[in-house]
Amino acid sequence: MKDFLNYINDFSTLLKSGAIWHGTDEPLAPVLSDPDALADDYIYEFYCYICMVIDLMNNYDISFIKGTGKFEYKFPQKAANKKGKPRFHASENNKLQFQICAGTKINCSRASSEDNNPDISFQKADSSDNPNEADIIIIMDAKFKENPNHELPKAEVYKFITISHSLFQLNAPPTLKIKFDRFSDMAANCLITNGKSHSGKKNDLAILSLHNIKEVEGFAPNVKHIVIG
Amino acid sequence: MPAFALNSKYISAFEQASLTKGDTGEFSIVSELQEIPIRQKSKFILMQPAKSDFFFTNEGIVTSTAKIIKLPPPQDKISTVRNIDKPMPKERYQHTFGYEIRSKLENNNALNDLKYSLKVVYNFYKPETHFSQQFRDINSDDYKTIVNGWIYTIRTAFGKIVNALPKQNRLEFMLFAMDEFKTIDFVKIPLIDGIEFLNSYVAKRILSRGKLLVATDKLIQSKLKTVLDPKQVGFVDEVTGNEKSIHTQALIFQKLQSLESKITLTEYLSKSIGSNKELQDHFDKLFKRETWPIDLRI
Repeated sequence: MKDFLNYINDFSTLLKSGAIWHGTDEPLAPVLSDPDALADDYIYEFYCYICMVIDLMNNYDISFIKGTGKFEYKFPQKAANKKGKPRFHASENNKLQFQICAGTKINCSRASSEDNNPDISFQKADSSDNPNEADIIIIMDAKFKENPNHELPKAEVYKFITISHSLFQLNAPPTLKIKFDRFSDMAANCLITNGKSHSGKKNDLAILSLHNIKEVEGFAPNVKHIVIG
Repeated sequence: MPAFALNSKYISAFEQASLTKGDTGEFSIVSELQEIPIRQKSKFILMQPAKSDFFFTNEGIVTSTAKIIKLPPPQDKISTVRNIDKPMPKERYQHTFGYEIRSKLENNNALNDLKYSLKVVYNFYKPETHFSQQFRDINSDDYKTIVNGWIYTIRTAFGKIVNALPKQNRLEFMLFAMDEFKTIDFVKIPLIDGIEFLNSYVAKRILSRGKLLVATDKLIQSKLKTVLDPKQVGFVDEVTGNEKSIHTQALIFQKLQSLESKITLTEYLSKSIGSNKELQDHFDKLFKRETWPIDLRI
């Protein structure tokens, strides 16, 4: 019994410190929120972002561009202005090819009031601190499912289509081919999830190809992802 | 014959005392009551506060009837009430008893380990408040539990886990539980069902995110540390200004994962319940009318 008590004491002590962000009083997991806040999980979005950056290290020289102040090494939790936020640059032969940004607000000329910003954006080398849709090469959105067997709802796919296809008009093949290594089939506008895709099971890819997007399912640690579209 | 818990913090004879079987002596309780319910042959359990917990240290028996001395009201209180024109403090009585120590308690004797196995405790964050006087009576079931160091496994596991959650998660868990079990009266829902639901809530809401943090931290450490310092990477909440370090948080979840890699909580729990079924049945009956031990106040 002593062993079990030690176990449960260790478990509950670790859970107690893990469930609150260290140094804050903020719970790690969102609570009592609408499904959107649960899916728009910045922890998952950042995991996907880091995976992309690391994969690109195989084909590019990757450099880290520090942010300023609190943002020197820390990324914004929600979409934020690009200025002063950290990002990565990908270069070839000492020449900057593109920028890899997390949660950057895009100043879209078609609907500037729309709060539709991609979780990950690959921006042109000369993209400024106030980027608009013309600066974008491809975008990616990440949706976290607490139950990896759950499918992305149709509404998520259509919302991504609205951002990618209608607002940013990313309708044609990317202006620059981004040379991924292991994720080579993800060099497109991707809606990524650790759960199941919306279109995969139905094998209905017309909507995806019509709008120049892909779905990526099972994108999680120690899981083999599948690209659909 | 009633049994009592004596808090050695307030009883000078037991303060700092390390007693063993067969030790005898006298202890006194000072009270405004002329008579207190402690009798010759009353059994008692001694409690001692320690740095981070309270411990039940000894079982003993009262060997004499009370010798009662009337004490004058304390001088400092008299001067205070004179100044503010209040009634005089009451007289006090010193009740002195003989005692003999029956045993030293060493097995599962921390209050924080026993709190979910004792009927007298309902303040799970500060269980010592139930014992914060010189003496208090203890029912015979709790007495046996303390003396034998018995643990109600499932209630202890449920309580320790649920009360380790932040308040927001605790409230959310209970709302989900009301929805899941279609009731607000959890007395009727067995703890075995409750803990299964709790474990799945914790796994989905918290451990799933912990896994992502561990994976992200490992990736940064193994692949990106030449371009950025893994210990500095994290998030900033622009609204609150809170800074969050991925590495610090990942370390916690890494420890949790390594704990569970040897044996999962669920496996350990069923093994533990199975190995002392009789005792757990006894506790199931004892706590039949009690609801889930979740504290929603703090």
